[in-house]
Amino acid sequence: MKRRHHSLEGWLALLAGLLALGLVAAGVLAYQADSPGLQDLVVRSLAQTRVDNPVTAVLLDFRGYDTLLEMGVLLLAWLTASTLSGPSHERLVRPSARLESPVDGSVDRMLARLLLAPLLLVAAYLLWRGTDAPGGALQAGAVVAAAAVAWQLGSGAESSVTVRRGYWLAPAALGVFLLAGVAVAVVTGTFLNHPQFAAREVMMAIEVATAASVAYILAALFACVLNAGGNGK
Amino acid sequence: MTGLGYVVVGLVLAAMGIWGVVVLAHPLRKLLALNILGSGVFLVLVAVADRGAGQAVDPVPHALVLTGLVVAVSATALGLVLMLRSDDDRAAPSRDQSDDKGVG
Repeated sequence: MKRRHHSLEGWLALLAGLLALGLVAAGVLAYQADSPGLQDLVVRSLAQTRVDNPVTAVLLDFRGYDTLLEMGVLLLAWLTASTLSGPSHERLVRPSARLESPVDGSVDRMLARLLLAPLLLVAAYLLWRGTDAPGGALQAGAVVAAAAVAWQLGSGAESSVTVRRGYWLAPAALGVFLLAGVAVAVVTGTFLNHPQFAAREVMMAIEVATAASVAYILAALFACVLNAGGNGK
Repeated sequence: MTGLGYVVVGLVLAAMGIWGVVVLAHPLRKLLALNILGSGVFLVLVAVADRGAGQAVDPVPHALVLTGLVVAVSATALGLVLMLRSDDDRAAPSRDQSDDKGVG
């Protein structure tokens, strides 16, 4: 009986999957045939932002609200995960037994340290180039987070203290984004509507803060996963 | 359009992900299936940005994917934390009850 129920569920899931596949395929084909896409609009409006990378312009200017809210989502995920990763705040500072055993030595300490410098260099380059070439805050943040994960795996217990110490980086992007939004609203009258003369500078400030917050939140979420669980033992 | 192969692969991945989320029982497998679903959607979005030879790439879907990737990674981490905690609470219900009394 149970087995039968399970196979029915499987067929329904397969049906749902195929239905979704068909719908999206139809949508994609219709979009490809009919829609001109937004690239012309973006290229035409690019001069208003004084940056040369259209993706950065979309992320931080044209669709600034999306990125602003994304920073809010990341902050919420980090807050929830760090509240859940230990019953008391003591636990968050003191490395747990779980962090020490499976993680210590899983990446060679020396290798993790060697990787740190080139990864940080790559991240800085991505952040610097992001306004005019492929790259940007999210990519730079992800690379720094990868370096931080390798470092946490290499140094195990002691890294969680350092991760806790940078907590103020987590809300930095949301804060800078909101401040910038309000500041440009004073000039232009619209929230997040960057005026042309300052658009590039405003976006660069937001980018630096976003890279820092993304890097910190992703690295801290990794630490939260390591710290969660193992309580009952 | 040159990206059709990527759209097809993305759609297959997304369908596999949906199937996995519904059918697989273990939360870790569900989480991995969600990630495969997400990867499929991202692949479709990246491919859809290709507007054909000689045309500029549409930057809006690319920006959506960049945003989505970071959110997907943090959602996965949050899911893992929730999973590990619920595992813990099931393993040691007595500790949690005493915690509740202390708070209430």
